[in-house]
Amino acid sequence: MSERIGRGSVLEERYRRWLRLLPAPYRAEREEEMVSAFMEGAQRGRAGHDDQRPRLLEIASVAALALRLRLGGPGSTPGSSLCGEAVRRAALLGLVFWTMVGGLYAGQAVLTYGIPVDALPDGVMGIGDPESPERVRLVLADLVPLLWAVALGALVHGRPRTAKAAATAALVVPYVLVPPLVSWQVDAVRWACSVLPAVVTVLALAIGFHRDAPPPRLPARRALLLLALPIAAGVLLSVVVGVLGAMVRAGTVPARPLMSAWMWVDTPGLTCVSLLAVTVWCLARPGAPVKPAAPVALAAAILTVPAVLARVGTMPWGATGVIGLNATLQLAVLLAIGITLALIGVRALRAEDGSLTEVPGQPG
Amino acid sequence: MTEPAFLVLTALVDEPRHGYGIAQEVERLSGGRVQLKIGTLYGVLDRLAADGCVEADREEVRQGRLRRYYRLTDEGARALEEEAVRLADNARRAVERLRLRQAGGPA
Repeated sequence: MSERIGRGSVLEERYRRWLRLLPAPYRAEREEEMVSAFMEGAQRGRAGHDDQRPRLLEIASVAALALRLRLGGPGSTPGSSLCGEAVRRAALLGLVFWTMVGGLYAGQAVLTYGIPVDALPDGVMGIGDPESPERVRLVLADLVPLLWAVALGALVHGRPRTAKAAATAALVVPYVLVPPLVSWQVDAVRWACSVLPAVVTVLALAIGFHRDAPPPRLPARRALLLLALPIAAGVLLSVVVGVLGAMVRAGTVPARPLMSAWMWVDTPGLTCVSLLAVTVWCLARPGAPVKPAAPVALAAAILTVPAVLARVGTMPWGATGVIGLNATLQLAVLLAIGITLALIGVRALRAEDGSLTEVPGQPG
Repeated sequence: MTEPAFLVLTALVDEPRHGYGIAQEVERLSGGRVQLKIGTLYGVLDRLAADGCVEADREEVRQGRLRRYYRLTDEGARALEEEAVRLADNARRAVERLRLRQAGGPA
């Protein structure tokens, strides 16, 4: 037994391999004492190993520590702190965006289901008979995304746990109420790509606001503004989309010229426009393109990755004309945005922390 | 203060301890209920060190392995005492109310 778990044993080697998850400077400081503590436990029969392998909970604790250190926990480098800040900003930006989308969906639900049939020029009607379970399910599925607003509100009031629960519900519940039609593998891939941006927002929220993360509490006035603006934008968009849609259906306005505009107010289009706005903000900020905008640029770069995948995954490949052209344009804009933001972010990281691969206190 | 942090500080009250020594003492203090994994233990120690509640005491090499000992600081002792008083107050109030309930008083 002692040979199997002694110095240089397979167990020690495997534990050291897991410790490589930790940032190099932290490992240089702590690896030996962590190995020592772990192996002492192993020699005394503590439940942290399985003769030759560290147990899952032991590995999970190392992984959780690594994640916290890489996202700005105590003992992390300035670069890791910047990464952590970027992930938290990604969560915040993502929540602002999905709150706007929640406002849009809720506004559309009111326009579609909440207004008497003959109040709109062409009699917009929703699916399902009024008061039928199907109608209730659809209305709820359109209103549940308002939980993104609950998540945003909770986060800016310093309640990340509530925010995480609300965001997860906002992501999952609509698909429970109205399951996606994924009968073919290609449909499943398209659907998975389309939900990626929201999934990444929830993940950023879950891992960015860990126990050691700085509290995100904002002053009440700023918090209210941050919450009200995206909801108002979403509701306004829903009114514009609803009225234009009604006019097109009534024949007042021709459909073709509006097709392009349509493609920029659906979720992939809005993602593109929103990320473009953030990129312009980052470039236009005083001191840009490095210091003050760095966490925001990195955050937007994080959000651009799933946005690109979502655009590629839902690309109307066979389409020509306006639809094909706008989808290709969106993809090109997203790629340009991604490259620009990544460059700003990498420059900021280098400027912030030349010691990413160095031990603090040791030269070069 | 989290329970692991509370127990780690308590484990360091009587003497400086090294990583495994702390984990062992925490297990003993909690009657075997809290078994700190090494990654968790060092996360807690980092947090407590950042708050000035613990600090490195000394290093020893035993059988070719490094042991770094940690000690409780005055700041840590103060924080632990405040938390212990708060928990004891809560526990006392809970016990008082339970006694009242058992005696048939207001629930």
